Amino acid sequence: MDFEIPQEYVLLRDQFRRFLEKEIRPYEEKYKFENAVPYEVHMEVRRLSRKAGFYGIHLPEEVGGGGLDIFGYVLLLEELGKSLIIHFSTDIIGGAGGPTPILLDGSEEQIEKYLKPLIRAEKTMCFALTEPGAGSDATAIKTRAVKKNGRYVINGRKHFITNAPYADFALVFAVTDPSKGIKGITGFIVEKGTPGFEVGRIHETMTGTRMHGELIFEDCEVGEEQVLGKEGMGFIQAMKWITLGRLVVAAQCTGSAQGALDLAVKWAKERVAFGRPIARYQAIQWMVADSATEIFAAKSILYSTAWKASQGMDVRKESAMAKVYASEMAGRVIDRALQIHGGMGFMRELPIARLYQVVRAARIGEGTSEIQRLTIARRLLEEY
Amino acid sequence: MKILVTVKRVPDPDMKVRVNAEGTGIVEDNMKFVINPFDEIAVEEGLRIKEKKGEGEVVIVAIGPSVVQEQIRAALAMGADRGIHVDVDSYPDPLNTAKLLKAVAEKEAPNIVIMGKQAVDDDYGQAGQMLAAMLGWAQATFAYKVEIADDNSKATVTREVDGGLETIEIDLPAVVTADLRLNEPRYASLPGIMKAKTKPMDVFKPADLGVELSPVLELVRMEEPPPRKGGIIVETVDELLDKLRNEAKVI
Ligand SMILES: Cc1cc2nc3c(=O)[nH]c(=O)nc-3n(C[C@H](O)[C@H](O)[C@H](O)COP(=O)(O)OP(=O)(O)OC[C@H]3O[C@@H](n4cnc5c(N)ncnc54)[C@H](O)[C@@H]3O)c2cc1C
Repeated sequence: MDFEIPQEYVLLRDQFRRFLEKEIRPYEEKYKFENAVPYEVHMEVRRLSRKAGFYGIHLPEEVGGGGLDIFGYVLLLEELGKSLIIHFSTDIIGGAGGPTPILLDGSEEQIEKYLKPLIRAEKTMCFALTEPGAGSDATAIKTRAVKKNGRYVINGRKHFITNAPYADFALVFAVTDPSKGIKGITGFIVEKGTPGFEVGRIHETMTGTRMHGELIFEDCEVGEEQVLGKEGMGFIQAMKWITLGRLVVAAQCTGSAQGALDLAVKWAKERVAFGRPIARYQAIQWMVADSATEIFAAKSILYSTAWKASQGMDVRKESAMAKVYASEMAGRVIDRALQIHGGMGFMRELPIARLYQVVRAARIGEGTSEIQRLTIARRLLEEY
Repeated sequence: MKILVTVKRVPDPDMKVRVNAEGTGIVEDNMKFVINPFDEIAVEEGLRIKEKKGEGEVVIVAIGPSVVQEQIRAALAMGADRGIHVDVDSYPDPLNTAKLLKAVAEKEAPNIVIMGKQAVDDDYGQAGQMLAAMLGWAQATFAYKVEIADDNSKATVTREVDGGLETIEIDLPAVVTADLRLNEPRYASLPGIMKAKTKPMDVFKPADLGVELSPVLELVRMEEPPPRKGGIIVETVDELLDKLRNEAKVI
């Protein structure tokens, strides 16, 4: 048994860290007191990262990606989390709005027309599954796509969609055959400007990024060539993608927790109260000891799951475990890090206050904590 | 154009270094090691010269135990062509380093040897000068800018000197040592890292190079600098002036 991280990954991670510190840190510093960053600045950062070879690094080389496997991808995401670069976290390697593996299910033309421009940091997309009436129970979506004369007419409404305000196209999940259950759901690529497709309200959120919004479809007509892969495959594509998405969340949460702990320990050794550094007080020591232990646990789950996934094994249960544990752990660790900083923790000079807000969403997106536990239990009960 | 670049494995300068209890060296557990930053600049310069010429070979040489192959691979990942590992148990002193490098340089017969101006771990800053002297080659230390003549016979090197820059012309082959501002090293890309895994690397023992090591330095003891005393916050400018004048006695 060998727990050592292969040298080439260590080297890549070192390069990545240097890139973050040198090229991206100045952007993060510039916007640290802002809630929202202009879209053009996000694109600028993506182009920088593309140039350095990191944007889309997890996609296959055939489509213009870097060909990095899941284990390497997870290591870089963890490093990104640890850097506490928050505003630009989805602009460095890519997120749901950028190069995303779900489009690999598309036809050659779709890969050419939609995926490659994403990888080249020229375009943005959004992933639109959630609806006002269907979140955790995504099978309950009501958005309908009815086939008429070889074309589909889409009607419905999506909300909470990341990147909705400026996506060049949306991947929209709609019911094509209500009698078939999950096999009656299909993914459609709908371009901005298609008649009948509009961006609705922009959501005001806890973080205030103005990056989330509604999508409205009213008799929006698209051709067959806009179906991602095959009709009826939408839900299966979405679930496959979400399994990887859960590992992504776990990796970023584990890294963020480490970054927050690093700051907290340094602070505790320097900050003096009642005549000595607060690190000398047991109340503080227990907080850092618990945090380090929990991070270690999250990392162990993360690495072994990522390794399994890289070997092509089924990790639906493990990735749910990794996600629920890491996202809840990060909440605890970042909360403690804030507490150790006292009033300073509440100030935007440090990234902790912002991180505290951002990490809260990790327990909701890509399936809530409850849904992760449901997934784990379901698999577990089947195993006995 | 054949370019020989030396790299040394050093503790990551961003990490906190601790001296071991015996005072014989540093604690290496959990330490991260990297290419000496000045050597990384040397590698970059080698690659740029080759790219500008449109031909040539960049050969990396490192001295030390087998772990230094990690740093050779890192340089190969940046784009260098092949590596030479001089396998010794511990890092030799500058004179013995220069002796080993001389043997490698004679074997490889490069047009130029590029080194870092010093290693950031022991900070000797001697190997480059010693190597040039032993080879009887010209040397240009603390390089800020390097230009190679079209026929590879000469190099024009701008050097960082106290209070300014100095430009000299030297005959090749020569030894050049890189200063901080010579260039900004590139990031090794993922394809570069993958390609580096299969690039050739030769391993030599000192005896293979006909060198017998004879240490001239003995490490007597290593100790940590005394901890810095905490600062104080003064209330007024007058108080500050008073302290500078009467306590620190600097004005
Ligand atoms: C910042 C952010 C970004 C998002 N981005 C996107 C996006 O890009 N695309 C997209 O499609 N969606 C996106 N979402 C939506 C997200 O996926 C949903 O919010 C999430 O799946 C939960 O759905 P819901 O909000 O409808 O909550 P509900 O499903 O209504 O859940 C409410 C509560 O009930 C619990 N619950 C539900 N069912 C069960 C059960 N069976 N057992 C126990 N408890 C249960 C839930 O865990 C939760 O606590 C985003 C959300 C956020 C916050």
